[in-house]
Amino acid sequence: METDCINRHRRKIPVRITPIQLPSTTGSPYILDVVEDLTALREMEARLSQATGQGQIIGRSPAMEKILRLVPVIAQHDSPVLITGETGTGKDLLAESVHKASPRSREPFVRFSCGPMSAEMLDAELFGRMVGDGAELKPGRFHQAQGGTLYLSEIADLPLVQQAGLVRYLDEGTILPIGASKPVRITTRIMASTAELPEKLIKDGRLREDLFHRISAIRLHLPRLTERGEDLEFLLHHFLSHYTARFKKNITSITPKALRVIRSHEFPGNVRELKNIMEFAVMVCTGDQISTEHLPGHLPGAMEQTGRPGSSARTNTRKKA
Amino acid sequence: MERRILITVAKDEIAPRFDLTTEVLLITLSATEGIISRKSFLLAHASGDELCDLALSRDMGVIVCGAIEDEYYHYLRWKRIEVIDSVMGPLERVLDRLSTGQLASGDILYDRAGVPT
Repeated sequence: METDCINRHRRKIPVRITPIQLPSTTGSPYILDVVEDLTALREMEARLSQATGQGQIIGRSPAMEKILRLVPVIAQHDSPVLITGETGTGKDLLAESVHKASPRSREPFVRFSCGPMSAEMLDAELFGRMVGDGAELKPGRFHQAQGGTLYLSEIADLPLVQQAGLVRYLDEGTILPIGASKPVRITTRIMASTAELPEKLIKDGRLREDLFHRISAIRLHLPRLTERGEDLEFLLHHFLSHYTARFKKNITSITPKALRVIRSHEFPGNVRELKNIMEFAVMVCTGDQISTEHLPGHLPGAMEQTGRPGSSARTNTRKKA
Repeated sequence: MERRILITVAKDEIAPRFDLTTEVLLITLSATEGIISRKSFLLAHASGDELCDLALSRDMGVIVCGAIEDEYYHYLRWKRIEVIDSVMGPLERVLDRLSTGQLASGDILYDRAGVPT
């Protein structure tokens, strides 16, 4: 079990507790709890996460600047947040950025994917369950996010019954774990996201209207990558330098032709797709400049140098080698 | 002279963590008469911030607790509340020590083999 404790210097430290059963001659076994200090591990994780650029949302376009300016303001409040935007636009990152900028940043940020799951399992996962004749609570995501933020990804995938539980929480600040007789008070901030338009989801009967009105106290919409103008090039160079450093390459630029190919692409997968393209290109590029032959084969115009559209850059590089 | 003391409690012992405490005991201790009032409070949920508010609103002079984070410790000290922290042991023993003015930070009052408390 991973948790935290406070040491004699009054500092909260992350720890891992591992119980080990020891044999005993008297009959009942002894339990030895091994407590490991995870401070160094967590610090290393944080450094690596910074180095890999995780947990950051960046952009220079007016649309993104408007959103990024709002982040510190929104972070200071406890109102629920609804983030909309197509897949790959950075909804998860934005939610995490708001949490990190908030006074809750020292408390947990719990991400929950409202994927397909049986109703009872979902209930237990979210709200917890009483076990051992109702004496002990097996915590759900709400409890795990106590004092912090619970981020519900793709909220419309949550069945309507569980959505009603969310409405109750947003109204009363309490949840009812399975098997519990009394509601439990929780102080978790709720953020949710959806890739579809909430109005359409309500019309299709997949999102409760009362939940929508409660959860969209603050509503943010992330634009598609093609609507972000100058961000395409800015992000392209960001990922280029990021992956160049990560793969220890010596790539300094991208050819104008390759740039044109990338610019003309529609990017249905948005920033995530651009990131994948740049990761691939940097991986297969052996020189100091990315050209069309290093771009993935599915991009129209890629591989023009070899005149074999459709074959992958990876194959081409292998052939060259 | 009377001292108003807040003690963080878990069952019949000192709560191991200040920020995870859901029960507190408020006592008034007189130098001559010992404990002259004793009130138990159950909190709706654990919160270090709310515990600080409770101590301030009830005009407490001393807090006795287990582990406490730096942030809360310095805040309470800044508010001129004496904090006796890192205390472990049964509540009644802690009250005895308080009555005799012998309780100090870091006191462990559990019975240990061969070590009188």
